[in-house]
Amino acid sequence: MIEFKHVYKTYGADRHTLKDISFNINKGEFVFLTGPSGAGKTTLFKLISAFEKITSGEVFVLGHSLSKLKKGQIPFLRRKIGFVLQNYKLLKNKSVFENIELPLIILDVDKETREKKVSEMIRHVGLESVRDQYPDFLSGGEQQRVAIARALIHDPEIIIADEPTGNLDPELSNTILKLFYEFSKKGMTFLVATHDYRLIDKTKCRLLKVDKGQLVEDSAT
Amino acid sequence: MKMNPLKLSLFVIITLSICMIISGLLFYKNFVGFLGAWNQSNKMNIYLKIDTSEAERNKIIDLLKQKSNVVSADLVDRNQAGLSFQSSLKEFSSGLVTLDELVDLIPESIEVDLEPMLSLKERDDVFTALANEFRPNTAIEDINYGATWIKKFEKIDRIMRSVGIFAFLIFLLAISYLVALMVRVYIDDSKQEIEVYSLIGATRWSIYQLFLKDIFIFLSILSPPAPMVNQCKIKGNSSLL
Repeated sequence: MIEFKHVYKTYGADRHTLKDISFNINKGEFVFLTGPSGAGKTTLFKLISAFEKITSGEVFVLGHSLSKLKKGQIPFLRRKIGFVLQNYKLLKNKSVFENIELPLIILDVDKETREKKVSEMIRHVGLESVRDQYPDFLSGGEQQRVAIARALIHDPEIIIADEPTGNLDPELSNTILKLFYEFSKKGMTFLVATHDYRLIDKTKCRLLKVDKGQLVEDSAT
Repeated sequence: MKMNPLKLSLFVIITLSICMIISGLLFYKNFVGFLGAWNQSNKMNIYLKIDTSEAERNKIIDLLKQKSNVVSADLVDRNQAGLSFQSSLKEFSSGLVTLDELVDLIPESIEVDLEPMLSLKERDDVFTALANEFRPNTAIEDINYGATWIKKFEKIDRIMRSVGIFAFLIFLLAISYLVALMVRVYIDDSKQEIEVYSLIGATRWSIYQLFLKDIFIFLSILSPPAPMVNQCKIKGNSSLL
């Protein structure tokens, strides 16, 4: 599903952000990515989502070699990935419903199905009471749940989450994690960056640890 | 297009700028007319002799119309002239002279008007040249084009035009800067939106489409005034503005 083969990413002449990264994530796997700030986690995510190009090596996502992927094909690859980012990336001029609905609009899903799916998802993540509110009027936890709902709404094959529980209290973190597990059981692949070791310890999932741009630990090996 | 405060500000600034530019142009194009509002004529009147035939009259009108800078050369017959004279002197001389008596006194004339964009100096030159050319014509009794009036206002006209052009350029620069600034802020504000759309897999075209709507609305504000500017000379008798 996601495969890195001796991947290097360099900014400028000699600033190595990623050095010789190799790993393989299979379909339906739930993987935590951890490491100190600036270790290269975000760069790794940017490479998977084709927002950045690799300097050398090979990255395969859903069977596509990203270095061979044409520019016009990138949006179609991203439609198969759900993103949950630390700063939520919600549109301020759209309501909770409209924000969650966006990926379905991009996929040309008809209005009736959209209405049904989004309402169901809103119920699932417990946002019924703020369905028509705008992001600025929501708490951090609520905004995070909107971002999660938007990432999951179109049943992507991969979910990439950057600190999805970073701004949440332990109880809400557990709820989010349960939600992820639920979708993971449906066959979605999860790659979740976190600093929260309690969460990692609790779940006993596969752990990738990066430090100074290198993969220093892979619990699967 | 969702009207957030930023879009609304940009909308208002562009609309106001266009209104101000059009007002400036309207004033500039009609400046001579505004001066004429002080009851001074800025047209040339060619008075014909009583016994001028229709053929001679038409020949003069045709010749005048062929001249550059001349926009109209219209015949004012004795009746029209008499009525106009009577109405302008109504308060002072009502009943003193009858229309029939006036018609006998006033000759037929041709009223000549020039391009509105000419300065008073240029108007004076054109009128003088026309007067010199047509005065020897045996069918013409007299030519009057308010030469003293033109001389009187020539300096004001020159100053006003120079100040106007300078102020207009400064204003245009300020407006361009303001609009550029607003567009920049608008683009920065839209970056987040573009990022989100690319994140969820929107193609480049579908992202363009989102902004095309806004661009279309802004262009639709800009497009109607453009041809209007060319048509903004106030019609009618300038001395009655």
